Amino acid sequence: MSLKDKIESVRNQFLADIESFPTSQKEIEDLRVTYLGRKGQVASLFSEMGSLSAEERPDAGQWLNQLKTELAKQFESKVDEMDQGSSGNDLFLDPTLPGIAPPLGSMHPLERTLQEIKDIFTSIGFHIAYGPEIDDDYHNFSALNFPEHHPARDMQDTFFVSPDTVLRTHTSNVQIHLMENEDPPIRHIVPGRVYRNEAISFKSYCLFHQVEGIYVDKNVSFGELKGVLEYFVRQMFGPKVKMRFRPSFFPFTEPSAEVDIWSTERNQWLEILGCGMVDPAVFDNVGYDSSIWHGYAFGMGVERIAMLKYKIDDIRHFYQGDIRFLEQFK
Amino acid sequence: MIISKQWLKDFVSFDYSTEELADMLSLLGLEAEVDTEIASMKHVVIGKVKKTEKHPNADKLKLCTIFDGIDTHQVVCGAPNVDAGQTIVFAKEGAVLPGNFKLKKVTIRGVESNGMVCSERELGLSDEHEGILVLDDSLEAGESFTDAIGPLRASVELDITPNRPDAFSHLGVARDIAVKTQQSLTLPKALPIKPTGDKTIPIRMENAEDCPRYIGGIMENISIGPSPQWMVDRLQAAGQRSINNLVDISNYVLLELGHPTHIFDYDKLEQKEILVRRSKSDETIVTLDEEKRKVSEGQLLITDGKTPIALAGIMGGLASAVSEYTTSVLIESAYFDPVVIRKGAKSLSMQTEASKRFERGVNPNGADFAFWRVVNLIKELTGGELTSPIMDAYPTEIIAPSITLRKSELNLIAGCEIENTFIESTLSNLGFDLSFSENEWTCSPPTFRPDIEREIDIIEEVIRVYGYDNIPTDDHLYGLYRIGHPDPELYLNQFRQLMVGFGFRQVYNNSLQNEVISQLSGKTAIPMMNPLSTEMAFLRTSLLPGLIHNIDFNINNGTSDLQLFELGNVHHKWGEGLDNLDESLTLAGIATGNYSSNSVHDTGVKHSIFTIKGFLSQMIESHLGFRLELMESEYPGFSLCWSVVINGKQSGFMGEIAPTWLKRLDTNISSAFGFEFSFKPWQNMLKGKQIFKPITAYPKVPRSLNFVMDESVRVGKVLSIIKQKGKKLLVSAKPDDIFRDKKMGENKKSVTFTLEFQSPVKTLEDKDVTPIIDEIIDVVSNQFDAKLRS
Repeated sequence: MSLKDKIESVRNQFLADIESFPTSQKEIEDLRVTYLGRKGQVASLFSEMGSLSAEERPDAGQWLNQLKTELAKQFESKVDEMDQGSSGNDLFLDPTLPGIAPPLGSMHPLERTLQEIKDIFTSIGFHIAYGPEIDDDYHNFSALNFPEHHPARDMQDTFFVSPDTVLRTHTSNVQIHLMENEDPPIRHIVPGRVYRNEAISFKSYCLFHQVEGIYVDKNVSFGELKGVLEYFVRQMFGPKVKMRFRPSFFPFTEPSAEVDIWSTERNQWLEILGCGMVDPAVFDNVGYDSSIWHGYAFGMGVERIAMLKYKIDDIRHFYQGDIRFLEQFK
Repeated sequence: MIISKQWLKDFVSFDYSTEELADMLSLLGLEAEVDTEIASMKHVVIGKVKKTEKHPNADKLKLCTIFDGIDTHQVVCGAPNVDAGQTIVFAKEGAVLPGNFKLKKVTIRGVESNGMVCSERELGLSDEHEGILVLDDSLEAGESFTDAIGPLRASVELDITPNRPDAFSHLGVARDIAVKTQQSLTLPKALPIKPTGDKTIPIRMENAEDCPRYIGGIMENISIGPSPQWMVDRLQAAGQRSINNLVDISNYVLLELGHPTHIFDYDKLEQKEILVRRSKSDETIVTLDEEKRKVSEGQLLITDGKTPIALAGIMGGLASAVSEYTTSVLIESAYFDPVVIRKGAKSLSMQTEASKRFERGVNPNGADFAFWRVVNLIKELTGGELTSPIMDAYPTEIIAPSITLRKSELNLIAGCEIENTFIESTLSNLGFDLSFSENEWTCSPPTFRPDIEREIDIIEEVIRVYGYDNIPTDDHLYGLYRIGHPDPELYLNQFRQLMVGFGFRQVYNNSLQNEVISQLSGKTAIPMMNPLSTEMAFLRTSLLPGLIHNIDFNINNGTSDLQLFELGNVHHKWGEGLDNLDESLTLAGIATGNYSSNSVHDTGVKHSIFTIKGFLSQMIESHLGFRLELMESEYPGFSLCWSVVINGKQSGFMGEIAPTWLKRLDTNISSAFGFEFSFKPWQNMLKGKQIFKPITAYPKVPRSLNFVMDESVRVGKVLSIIKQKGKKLLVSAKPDDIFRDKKMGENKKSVTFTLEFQSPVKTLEDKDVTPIIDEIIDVVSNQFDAKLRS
């Protein structure tokens, strides 16, 4: 058989073998070794070159190189083809099996709601302040213009640690600490846990979380208070929500108001926060000159906002630690 | 307070629906809700009971013949109080009552019944269902129930804020409506009457500060009887039951004017004298509610000169109470100091219609008007005669303060310009005296508004009536820049995010716990003086008990693989007073069940102290780059326990939750693992700046060392020696494998450590690493009696 015939024979044999291209890694490697290895068929044909005449050699070299290139190319493309479709061919790999899932954590809905409230107010220049949950009567009541023997004291059922020490009933105690320690102007919100000595039911709990806000500067008006709270409510509940300001009473603000939003589902006004202009008596108590400084303050319950936002019907869900509740908040 | 719509119309005219009225009052600052509004009900009419007879087949049922103005109907009725001659509410066949109750012709125990005689509850008026509603006989049969009764009963309920004592009355509420709608107020009839006799009794006040004013008057020839229907209807609409004409008058005037009065049976006063004084020790009085009350010293009393006859401003005494036999009375209309009444009511734990009003402040200068109103009504309704002059002890008249209202301040607070004419008409309609000069008013508020003491109080009145919705909203942002991140607790976000990333779910637990649970940590919990219950009497000292309850709750509800965390405050005390309390922001995590479950891919990993250790190590060492030391320790909550030391600061504990805790907390948990640490000891170290370190371009050189050592040798100790000797070139070292085989000897283990060396300045060669390795081998072999395996 001439060398050219031998080349043809090797080519045909290779094409036949590659037709039934193996799937296992070892067989593929064997195939490569058989044809393209150091001692493979193509190499052995090259070694026959030595027995050829000088005239024959250039042609034979060309044919052999062609063969080698062709085989290598075909082999590579077959390997690529197989890599791409590898999964389809591996009997042991079942891609329909479930994945290996890490445990999933989640932030509490009150944490998310608080974060949202913080983001809205910090976006318009408010800083955040924190303060103690246990405080003296002075910071929780007297300095906020709750006179000692006044029915206003009945507005908040209070837990007493001692006759003069309370679990704060609102985070407004922090506005006193803040103003005692800083000169005006100030603009802060104060989030935190507060306590009320109230029977536990679907709508009230012995504690809740409050965000209070206070802004003190020269020439602060009720119109500005309306502006900032309308911004907040629209950011929180959507630009189209209907809201109203309704006169009310808090000892530490005057004039005071409650803000209601209209619930189209329940067809009624729902109270969402209290607010007002800082009462001059509070400024007197912290040593701010009330003839120069004016301000507004507001306070809201994080639970209430979260309940409205997520349509939660029972406040006790927040404190139960029930996975079936917690996992719903993305 | 329940306000009758019809009653209001005595003083001011309006044409609002009950709902509109509630809305309008709410926008004036008197938060109101519709209390009673009788919906239009077809086929429900006024009926007359023509006759009643016993049901032939049932003892407790009656057969009634009802006349509806046109026809008569036979109705079976079970009410005990139904009787012939009554005027009642008759729901005819086809009527639909509240609750979508449709009336059809039915047969009850073999007798046909066509319609129903209604109780208050069936009509949606109240919860009363003991008997049928019996109406005034003047009502005509056949008239629609809604038309006949609706206007009489329509009412709103007010939630009155502490600053508005004047609104605790129909007249006060009417005044606000009159001011808002710019009408004048019609006052009720309270004309002074000439007495027909000249009786008097001495009235003395021990201290005029406690009782600045006391008015008395004697009326005789009273005949007790039922109140007229209009008064019964009014009282009923305001949520009160009629008793008799005399008692009703005092209640009526209280609801009408907001001024409490008291009526004594004159004949029952042992001494004909009034002395208002503070109680001495050990005095008692039986009050109207038939309670014998021990009065603490210093309580304000009305006495007949010797014995107490009433708790001033709170409740009258039983001994001097009016009864159906009363013919002569002493009328009291007084003004007591609000703080004295409040303290007294608190110390007795009593709150009455009278005390609520006195402690908020009634009108001292309205006591005479209330007196004359009572006298007028007694004369009109009981035939009584005034046989004494008005005896008015009022040594020092209380006058309202004079307050300056600056127009500039009003406009500044409102944020807009309010017209002078509006300001003036509003204030004078509210009862202020005022005079204007050069952009300011001198104002004197009415004495029924004791809450108005300062300029800001007047500004509020003006803006309230102007309407908050009419104040233009200012949409601008003003103020100064402030340097610094707005949130001083920003640093906490990374911990929450890490915990969530580790697969923990965040919980919020109650801070109030029972004594046993709150003291489990071994710290002294802070008790409440007035707890809601013993279960919630102490502040928590640790977050772990709450988390343990959470996992127990979830296991009981079908989830057994759990990772929960809480970030919150815990408290404890070491002495009395605020300075001896500690409030500490704390992070705690708990895990139970599997970290990863068995699956088709893999066998699962159960939670253990090592998963907890892994979370902490990732958080403190890998993330923060702080030193984390865990030292074997003891803490009541953990059976296997390590103290958590962060950058050298003792901060908390981790380990396996002690079975004793699981038991004492009454759980079914078999095992759980957790940690708890506070931020306070090392929080300030978080403030350091982060500075980028150049990335090393030179390769890492791995080495592996395998030692055989006694089982008792702690791998961690070996590791720390390796790290110490590895110096700066050793960038990581960890145990890779632990192998045990009898061939190595009893109680021996073979531990493989994987080490990586790297230099920031050059490619390391064997000659750099080998001496270090040799030293490590040497020290480990000697210190731990370990042998290097090749």
